[in-house]
Amino acid sequence: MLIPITYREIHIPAMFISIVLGYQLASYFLYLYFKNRDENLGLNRLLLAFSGFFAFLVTAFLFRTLEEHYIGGTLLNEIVNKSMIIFVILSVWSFLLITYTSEFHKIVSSKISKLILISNIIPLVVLVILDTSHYIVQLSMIPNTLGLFYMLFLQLKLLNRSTGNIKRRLGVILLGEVIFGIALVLGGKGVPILLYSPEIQWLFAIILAIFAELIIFIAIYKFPAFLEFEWRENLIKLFILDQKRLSILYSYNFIKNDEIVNNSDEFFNRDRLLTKGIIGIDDIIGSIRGIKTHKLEVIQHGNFLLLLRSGDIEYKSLTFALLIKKEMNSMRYFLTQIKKQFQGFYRDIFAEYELLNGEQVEMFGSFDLILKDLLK
Amino acid sequence: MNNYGYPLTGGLRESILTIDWIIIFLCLELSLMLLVRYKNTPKETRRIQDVGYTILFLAYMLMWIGLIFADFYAADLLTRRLFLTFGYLSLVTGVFIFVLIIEKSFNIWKENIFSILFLVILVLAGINIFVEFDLKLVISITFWPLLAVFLIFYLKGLMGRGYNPHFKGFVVLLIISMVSLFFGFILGSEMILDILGPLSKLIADIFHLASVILLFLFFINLPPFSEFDWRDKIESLFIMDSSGLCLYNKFFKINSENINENLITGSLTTIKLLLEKITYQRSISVFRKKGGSTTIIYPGKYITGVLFCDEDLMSLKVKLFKLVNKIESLYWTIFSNWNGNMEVFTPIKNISARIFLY
Repeated sequence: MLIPITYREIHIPAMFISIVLGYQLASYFLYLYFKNRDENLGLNRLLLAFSGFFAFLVTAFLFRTLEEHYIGGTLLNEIVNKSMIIFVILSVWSFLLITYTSEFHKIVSSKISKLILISNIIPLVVLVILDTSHYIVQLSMIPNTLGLFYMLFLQLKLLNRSTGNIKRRLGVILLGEVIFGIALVLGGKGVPILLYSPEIQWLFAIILAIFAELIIFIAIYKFPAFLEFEWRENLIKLFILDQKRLSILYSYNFIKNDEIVNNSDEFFNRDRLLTKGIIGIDDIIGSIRGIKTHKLEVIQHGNFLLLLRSGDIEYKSLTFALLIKKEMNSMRYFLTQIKKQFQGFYRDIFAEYELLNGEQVEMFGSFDLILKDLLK
Repeated sequence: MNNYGYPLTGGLRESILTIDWIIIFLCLELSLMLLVRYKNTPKETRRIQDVGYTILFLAYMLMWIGLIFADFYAADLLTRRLFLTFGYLSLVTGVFIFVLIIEKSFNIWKENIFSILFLVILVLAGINIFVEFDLKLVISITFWPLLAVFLIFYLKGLMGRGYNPHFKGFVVLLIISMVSLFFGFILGSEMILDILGPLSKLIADIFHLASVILLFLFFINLPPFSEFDWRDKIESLFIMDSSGLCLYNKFFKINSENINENLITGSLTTIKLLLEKITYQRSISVFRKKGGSTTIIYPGKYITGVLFCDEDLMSLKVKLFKLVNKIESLYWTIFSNWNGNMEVFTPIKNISARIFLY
């Protein structure tokens, strides 16, 4: 037989679980920020911004729990209520402040960011003067709500700029935040009761908040460095080689302004050496190890990294080589897209390729347009 | 409160209950985290040990759910025992699966010995349910001591395979967590509870919570389990001089009778020179083929080390780096004035054996 379970004994542990998970999220974001700080990537500040956002928001949640279950005195109630609202404001404000950098202004307007950032000081000032129950306090929260939407807008913009794994993870974080937001609204004070009774609605809100925190944690676990957003800046050169004829069918320099790359004869010789070398290296290593079926996928040497992809069966003499600065999933995705597009675009030419002589490689120059499209 | 001391009542009931639920959620989170780590690892370097830990933490979580219902909501002794049995049986089953998975992928002592012993305990626990319906005795006499012995052997094995200088620090973290867990179980036992009352349960729960938090820190920083299998992934090792002459070689997996090692090192020198010419850099090179097969070339000042292996592991790069540096620091006077005498390099065999543990 079981003794009856009271509502309070479910509600309070659930509230504290949500608070602990929230602080854990804030700490993990902070840990990720410091872990990647050496990479010196401006966008890594987003991790710090998330850390601040969750830390303040969960502190507000903690004050709400204290006010609801442990503090009975009227004067203390008002102080705790005010603290709770201040922490909610600070959560959005800290996020916007930390992301107020030139890196983020490439994504969102710096003027709007500044305006929202300054306007969020209004509710803080109002709270010092007036009681929390005053209607002006509630009206003064409008900039804070706008700030919250602006924060989501910034994340949506980042989502659009990303690819592959990081896009998926950012999407899950955003989804988690939206669920967390719904939970906060459902569990908020003065919100109409939509689910049977206030107790059921509040419990549902807390469970929703815990679920949201769990999915955010899973999404950020081993979060790749924000380098992934700047993958375009890590591209050096693309080569498409014909292994049979030992020739370069197509090449593209991603570092346009680099004088050394564009003007040096040495670099031209280096290209020839590199492309022919790739074929040689693959043959030598294949022979030494007796593995000829599997082609080389990565060559890493010092600061350079060469990602390689072989053409599909009909295009098996083709090798797609991407010279980059750092290995990241976006690069692999990009190279696979290049391979697909190149093979698809020149399908008819490759059907008659044996008949063409090696001098007709200029026709592959038109791949520039497709590549620029892929880079967008 | 009934005459047997449960369900727990009083002012500390709510705090203890809250901490217990937090422990449950942290365990759930930890198990999900390890499952995600397993799923997100490329197939070649994926290790089933992550799944083993997932099952372990899920079982631990189930045990806590059983304990909560037994300590707080069971109105009579029979109901309490029912929940305790559920909790302990979940833990014993989880630990058995965990040990089985670990022993399948990691040679701890004698083949599957711990799995067999835990299976015996599981059977004993099963029989005990029908005979006495109280697993406490089986758990305290057989399960915990065996788990402690298993963990000692397992940690010893992990430390032997660890390549990272910080790894010993991680293991210390794990040991502190285990000690905290031990104190938690002692202070939370019915015997201590009878003497000290619910306060001992609160302190016990704080120890348990600390233990789970330390486990979190351990698993967040733990390198992939594939790094611990570096020894099984080496195919062959070559040490060559700047002209490509093979100074030392060791084949770990294949018969080397018909292999001309100088031909191999000569070809590798060509590759190394080619890359240096292209990139203007003298640096470590890694060639990774589809399926994971990897070649690592590490050039020192006088010699170059080459490893052919089945996976691209950080541990192997660190070991190769250590080997090349050790040889160069011992032989630098000889390298700068070498007269072609190969016998002087015979001791490389011992240096290499100590670093690569063969």
